[in-house]
Amino acid sequence: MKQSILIVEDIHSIREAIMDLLSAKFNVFGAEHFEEAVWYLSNEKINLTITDIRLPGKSGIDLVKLIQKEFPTVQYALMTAYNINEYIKYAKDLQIWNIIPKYSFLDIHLIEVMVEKLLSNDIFGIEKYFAKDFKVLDQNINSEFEEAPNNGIVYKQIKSDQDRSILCGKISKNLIQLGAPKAIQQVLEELTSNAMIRAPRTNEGEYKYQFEIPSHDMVVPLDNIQLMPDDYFLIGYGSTDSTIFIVVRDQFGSLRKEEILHRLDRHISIDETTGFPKGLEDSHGRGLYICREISDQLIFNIKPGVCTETIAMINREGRTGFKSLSIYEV
Amino acid sequence: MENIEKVAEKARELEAIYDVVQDPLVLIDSDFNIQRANLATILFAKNNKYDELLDKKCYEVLYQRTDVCPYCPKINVKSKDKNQTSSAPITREIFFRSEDKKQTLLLEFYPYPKQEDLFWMVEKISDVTKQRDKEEESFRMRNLASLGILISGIAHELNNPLTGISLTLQNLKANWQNQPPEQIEKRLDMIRNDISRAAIIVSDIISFAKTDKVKVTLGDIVETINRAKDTVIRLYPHLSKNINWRITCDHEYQFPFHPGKMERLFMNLFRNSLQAFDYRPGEIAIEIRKTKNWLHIIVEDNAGGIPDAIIQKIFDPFFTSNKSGTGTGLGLSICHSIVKEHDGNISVKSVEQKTRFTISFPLTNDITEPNS
Repeated sequence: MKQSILIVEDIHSIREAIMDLLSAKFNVFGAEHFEEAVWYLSNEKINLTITDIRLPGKSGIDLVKLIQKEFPTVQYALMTAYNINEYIKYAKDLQIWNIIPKYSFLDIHLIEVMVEKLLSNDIFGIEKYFAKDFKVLDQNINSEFEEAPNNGIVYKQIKSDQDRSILCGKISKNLIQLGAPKAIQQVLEELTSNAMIRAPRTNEGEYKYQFEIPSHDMVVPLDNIQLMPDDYFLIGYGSTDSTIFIVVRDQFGSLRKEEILHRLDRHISIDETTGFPKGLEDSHGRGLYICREISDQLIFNIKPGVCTETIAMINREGRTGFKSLSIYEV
Repeated sequence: MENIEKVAEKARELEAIYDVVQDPLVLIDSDFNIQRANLATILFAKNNKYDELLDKKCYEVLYQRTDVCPYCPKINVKSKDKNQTSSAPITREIFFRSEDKKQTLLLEFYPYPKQEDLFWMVEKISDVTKQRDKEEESFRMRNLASLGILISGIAHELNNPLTGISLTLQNLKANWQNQPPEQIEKRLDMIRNDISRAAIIVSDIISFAKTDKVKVTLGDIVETINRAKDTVIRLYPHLSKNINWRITCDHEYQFPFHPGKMERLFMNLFRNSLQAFDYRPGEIAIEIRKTKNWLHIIVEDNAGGIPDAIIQKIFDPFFTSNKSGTGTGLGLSICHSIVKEHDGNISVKSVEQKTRFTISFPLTNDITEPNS
């Protein structure tokens, strides 16, 4: 049976376009404002609601609150033409995981991918974001660096600090040649150190490769880490005509989605008392924030206890807008 | 002798008082000769001793002119106008260059009734350069702030139709080959509407930036108002869904106006009303009425009215009551200038949840009333 989606958007053409896009695979309903959306939620079996944040009258945020209270089985995602960073605090407080920026360079396919990921248990893999002929090379993960095919990705395995520094150096050089900004090095550094140092935890939740110094509020990684045989992680890299990307996939799934919003929020939202983001005072979670600032899209796919996959995409044509919020969990 | 001593002492005391005033104070007789001056005047006139100022022409020693200053109020000159005895000074603000310094001076002239029918005057000169610079600066800052509001408003207003067009086109491109023609036409219409919206925003900005001379042609105002109504309904099909339109007029009225601008005037008014209704049902009533020399067009809605606190500001450019970041704040300001370009008047009243705009255009003889 087809699943049902409700699109709440007051701009006619945008609503119609999204409905057109999704109507082949889903039952799609369109609402212009809060009250109409509530009508559909009450009278139809809706699986997913995608709502604009700013609506005439009550807002999309109000709608999310109502859904959480009255229709707890309905999933939700938001859209906005405004800066998504302004809503990070709402996202953190209200458990909103997905916000799509509405701007004229928005690839409508992204909405389709989001919907399919939200309505299935199939969230992993960057290939979802590209056409069918996208190539995934994940057979030779143990071999040395090789260039990714055009319109495809190649995965490599990282087992030690040494692997990490050699591979990251070669990947960043390669991607910069393809037109990535130099800051891509930073993204590689942050994502791989997360996968190597932060992600591996014991069943009791203790870090495996770093130790805490509670008196100094610090965690210090071990020197020259050699990951245990089962603790390795994968790094993927490559490009299409429009996009350059990095994928980091660990085997722990220990990054909690609340933690992502918490870390982003403390570097984005302004603390009223100081006038600066809280995160300026320390360095907790700055890595993720920096990755998000450098990338045009930063996507998190999480299966707790099994895998965290982080995808950073950079548009090669400079067609950027506000950054989406994309966190998926199964 | 004692009396003379006393008077002389009083004079010295007065002198002491006005010498501490930092701004030049000058008493000028009816022939523009300086009769008294304070210490500051000597500094202002430069290189002159007190004695060298006395009985000299004020325009020569103060302003290095050879004749009476063109801005002189001449209240010292014989005049029968008795009103001059009022205590409020006549003021002039001048740019004055002394050596290489450019100053803005505020001159205040107070009449001093010397005899019957004979006035001298007291001139006070204040340097307001810094003050004016500061004002100028803050004016510029305010302008920049308005510009910021305008730009983010425009960016957002353009973003919406552009996003609509972009998403619709992406769909069309992917599916046009297997879609029935009606579906394709529907999407093309959506693109057309989005483009009209974007075009209106752009033309708002252009017409705000430059007021070109209005080219008027004889037109039917009722027809123009109807066209404006239809366009607004087409562009805002949902906002206008629950609106009842009532247009009352007893004649067709033809008079010379710029058809495009006139349509824009009413479109902006209607759009504001629709936005005020915010999807609620309501009525927009338009009444066209002729008096002897004027044509009045009254546009009234019952969308809630305009608060007293802002009704004075609604014709100001960049003023907007929309939620932050939407709208350019130019709509009513453009209405105002279109009305003015047609030598008309526009006024607004808001009572009991209703807002009423009254627009009046002067009628010349060439108005025709075909039905009468």
